[in-house]
This record gives sequence, structure tokens and C-alpha cells, in this order.
Amino acid sequence: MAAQTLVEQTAQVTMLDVGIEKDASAVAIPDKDFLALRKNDPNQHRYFIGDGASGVSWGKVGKGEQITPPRKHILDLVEKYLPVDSSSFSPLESLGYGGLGIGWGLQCWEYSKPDLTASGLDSTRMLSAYQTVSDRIGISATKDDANSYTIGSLKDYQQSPTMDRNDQHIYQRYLAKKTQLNSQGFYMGRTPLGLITEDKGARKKYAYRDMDFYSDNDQSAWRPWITVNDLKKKANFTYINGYLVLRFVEKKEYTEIYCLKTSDGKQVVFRCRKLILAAGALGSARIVLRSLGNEGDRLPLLCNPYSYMPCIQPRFVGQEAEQKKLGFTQLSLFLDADHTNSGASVASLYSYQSLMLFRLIRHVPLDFKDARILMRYLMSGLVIMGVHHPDKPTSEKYLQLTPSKKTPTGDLLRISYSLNENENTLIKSREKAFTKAMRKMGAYTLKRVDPGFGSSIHYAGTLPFSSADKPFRLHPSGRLYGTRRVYVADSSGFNYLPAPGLAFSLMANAHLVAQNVVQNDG
Amino acid sequence: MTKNSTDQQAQAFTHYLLKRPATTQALGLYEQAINNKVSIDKADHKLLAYIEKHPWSLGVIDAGLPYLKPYSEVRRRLYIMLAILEASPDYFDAFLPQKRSPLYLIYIAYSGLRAIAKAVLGLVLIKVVTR
Repeated sequence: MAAQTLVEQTAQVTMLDVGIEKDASAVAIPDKDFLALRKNDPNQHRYFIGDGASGVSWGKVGKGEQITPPRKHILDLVEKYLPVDSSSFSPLESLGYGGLGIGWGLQCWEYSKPDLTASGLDSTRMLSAYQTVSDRIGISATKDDANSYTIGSLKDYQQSPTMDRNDQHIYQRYLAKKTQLNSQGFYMGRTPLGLITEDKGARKKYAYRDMDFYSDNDQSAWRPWITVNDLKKKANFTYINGYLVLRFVEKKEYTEIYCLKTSDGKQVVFRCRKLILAAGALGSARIVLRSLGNEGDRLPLLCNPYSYMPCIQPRFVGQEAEQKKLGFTQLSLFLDADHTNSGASVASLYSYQSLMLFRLIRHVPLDFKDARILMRYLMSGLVIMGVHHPDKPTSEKYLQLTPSKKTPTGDLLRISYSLNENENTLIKSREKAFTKAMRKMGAYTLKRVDPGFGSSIHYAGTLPFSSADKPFRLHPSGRLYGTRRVYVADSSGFNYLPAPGLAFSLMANAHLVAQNVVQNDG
Repeated sequence: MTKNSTDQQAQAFTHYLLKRPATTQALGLYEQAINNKVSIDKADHKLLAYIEKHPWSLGVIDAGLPYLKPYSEVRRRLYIMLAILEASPDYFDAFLPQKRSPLYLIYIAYSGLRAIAKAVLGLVLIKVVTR
């Protein structure tokens, strides 16, 4: 997003990236719907489970369970170049072309004004930035009960996709019990998505094929690589891949960027007038620590605590597979008990079909033969509720770089993360409240799955915004204190991490940081 | 494992899971998936050998393992076969949800009870086989 803003402002922009692309030998996914492919395509195993069943995970539940074989390149080389040492935190990072956006769930919530302020973001400028980003990527949304938690002040957007039967029923039950649920702090609405329901340029509207976890053939879901592909056509944009940025050294007239060439491990130095880091909160933290830090320096870390709960809608068990099922979340349920639109937790509801039965079966403590019979019967009534909670900095959440001779970068990222008693108590009580609310809407929780800290894949706050010039802090413009021309345009600066997914907000912030870079030119 | 023995194993697993034969494609995919370098401990070796000699025991052992050794190599192989079968047009009808009458609940209840009974037997059998 920052690159697009700079290019549009006619700046000369170079993007350095590792940028691993999908294997060229990967099978092309036909433009057919999930059910048709299941019934007819003899090559479906290649994209549903991967060659050699490489996409069939075994062992304990971890993050990224929904990363399917066509998107596995999201994880390539991460262990080698972004090593992490932690017994308490398991992050998911990417060196892929388009980063974590390759598998992003498309949720585009605006933060509320109180949450923007708490995060250290300029609420007035952010509201305008949200619209800019929405116009660029295409967002589908609905004006409904939960507007102040979802689309906020967004004006131009496309209509939300049609809900499938599971979500339609839940939403109808919500409307029937709205008064009671609202009084308890629950507000439900359509999730704004980076998904188009009308054609936009070369991108085609959503075709309801229920291949959302596998295919981007029509580009109806916005992915960062779509924007990078477009930028590559511009004369003032250069994309250089195959380089891992390690650190920078700011000189008088320029900044040197030290990189590792991933093809041969050699170090290469680039130069630039201004440097914008947007490697994600963890990636940018590594670069800054290498550049300006000393051994032992610690940075704070924010990450939304996350769990998911499979729920059953009894009225939909034992039904036939649904043609127009959606893999993306369709409904968001906010819990804002204080009615302040600040500090709410959010549950995203997902129907289940295209991620196949086998992924469900392994969680059932029965023999596989009977588990298949049972889960096949239940699957049509299954809704997954993924619950995110806000996060504040504490002394128990931090990261630091430690030297290591075993890694190509010469270091590894040590992360420590835990919740205190108050945080745990609040989360437990909120999750209980969500479970009760879902029961009122005809969906009954089967169990709670805790995939561990880091599994929300929402990271922030490693270089917090500050009005005071301090090491490892960002000026509100995004400029890194201690430098004149280095900026950070991802979520590193957030002082607080609201529960709704941060993608839309970090893109809006990136746009603003890029604007600041241009304004501060000269 | 030789091709012959992986084929036999794949056929046994498919018959157990779906009461159908494995297709040539399924056999090939299973061989590809299994011939990776996963080390098998003594207990799993014994269980696999026992299952090969006594095919009737597969369901019982499968039922007991979630409680004794949930990530057993036996379960992993069965799971891989299950995924291979699901991702095949030859078996889609065994996996895609179908409209069922309310009376189907009786069959579900029976399957549940059967699973519990097998699990109890499995717990005993696994301990005997792996001692």
C-alpha cells in the first residue's frame, strides 16, 4: 500500500523482497466449483491434499491449519531465514510473494475512534485512509447493526456476497433476539471483506465456487501480489526479489541496506534516499534490532489472543452439500459489554465445507471409520467460531535477537509471551459469553481449541508510536527515532491491538506513512 | 516398504474405511505419501505387524489409539489413506454430505456405540500387542 501511494505521487520506488512464488509446476485449478471438482477432477488430490499428501497435517493443532497446498509457498524458507526460538509463542511469517496476504482471510474492519486513539493512530487521517484503501482493493460490506464495529465511516463499497444457509439462519436468529443480545453487549453484522461482488478492472466478481482456500483465478479476493503485479507495470517502480533485508546503515546523504541474496547466501548492499520498512511487526523488529540495537535489547510485542470453537446447528445436520458455500467469514459478532466501542472482542463465523472432511476427522477421538460417518453427517451443520481478543503491552510480552552461528542471518528471534491472571480471566468470561450468545442463535459449541499464542497471525507493537524521541520508537509520522530517513509502515507502531483483524488498519497506516514520507521530502 | 506391501496395506485400509477396493490411483498416491522418511517406534512396528497378520484388528486398534497414542504411525497412515480417498472422484459420495432422514440418527447412535465398544476393546488389545 505504501509503495502504491509513493508510485502515485511519482516517487521512484524500489521494493526489495524475498518474494517466493508458487511452484511453476503446481497444477492449474480448473474454473469450476468445489462440488463439480470433487465429483469429476482426477487431479484434485494435487490441490486438495498436495503431491505426496504434503498438505495432510498430522500431530498437534498449530497455526496455519487452513493453508492449503496451492498456498504452501507462504511458508517456504521461513524456518531458515526467520528462525524463532520460543516455547510460548509460535508465529506464522512469510517470505512469499505477497507475504501473509497470500492466505489472508480478507476481513476489513475499521478500528473505532477510541481504538484508533489507543493504538496511537490519527483517527481523522485514518478514516480518510480507510476509504483510499477500500477504493484501491475493493471491499464488499453491508450497512447493518454492527456498522460502528465493522465499516465505520466507509462510504463507497460493494454489496456483501450472499450468505450461505448456515449464516443466514444465524443472522435471522440474531435479529429475532437483537434487543436481548444488544443489551448484553453483542452486536452482529456482515463482515466487510476485501472481496468484490462486481467486476473491478481486470478482476472478476466473486463466483461462489467455494474454492476460496485454494484458488485466486478470478482475483475477486484482493491479495497484495495483485497490487505488486500492477505496480511492476509502472515506470517508476522496480521490484527486486530474492533478497532478505538484514539491516540498514544511515549515512549522511543516503541509507545503505544490507541484504542476503537467498540464491547464494552472499551479502549485497543497496542504497536509497529514504527507507520504508514494511516487513511486518516481527520482520521490521529484526531489521531495526540488527541496525540500531545491542545484544539484550528487548522490544514489546502485541498479538491478539485467539481460540476457535466448532459449533453445531442441529437444524442443518444431515443436509446435502451446499453449492454456493462461502469459505470466507460472513458474520462478525462483537462483544462490547461496556457499549463504548472500545476493547471489544470479536467472533468470526465460518461455515465449513471446502476444507474437506479429513481435517475435521482428525480432531475426533474415534476410529476413523466411524468418525467419517459421524462428521459427514454433522458437517452440513458445522460453523466454526474464531474468537479474537484485544491485546495490551505488558512486561511478559517481548522479543529480542540473540546471536546464533547456526542461522544464515547470524541470529534468531527469541520471543516470550504470556497472559496475566486478569487477562486470562477476562478472556475466559468473554468466551463463555460468546458460547451462550451462539446458543441463543441456534448454534451449540462442541469444544474449544487453543492453537497457542501466535496463532492469530496478528502481530504489532514492536516499535510503538511515541511523542517522545526514544530508541526503538516511532514518531507518529512513522519515522524511526534515531534516524532521519527510515520509516516503518506496518503494524510495528501500534501501541494497542484491538481485536478486529489489523490488515485493513495496517494498510491504511502504510498509506499515511507513505504520504508522510513524500511530505517530508527535501 | 516394498510396493507390494504398501499396496496390500492401502487395500486393507481402504476396505476398512469404506468397504471398497482401492483404485490404482489411490494405491499410487499412498505409496508416494508413505515412502517418506518417518521413523517408526517399536510399539508401532508391533501394531503394524499385528494388523497385517490379523486384519480384523485394524478397527479395534484404530479405535483404541486416540486414547493411548493419538499420533501413532498406524493412525497417521490410516489418516493419509483417508485423505487420499476423499480427494478422489471415485469416492466423493462417501465423503460429501447427503440429505438424511431424521431416522438416520439411529444409525449415527449405533455408529457411536460401536465406536465406544471398539475403543474399549482396542485399549486392551493395544496393551497386549505392544507389551
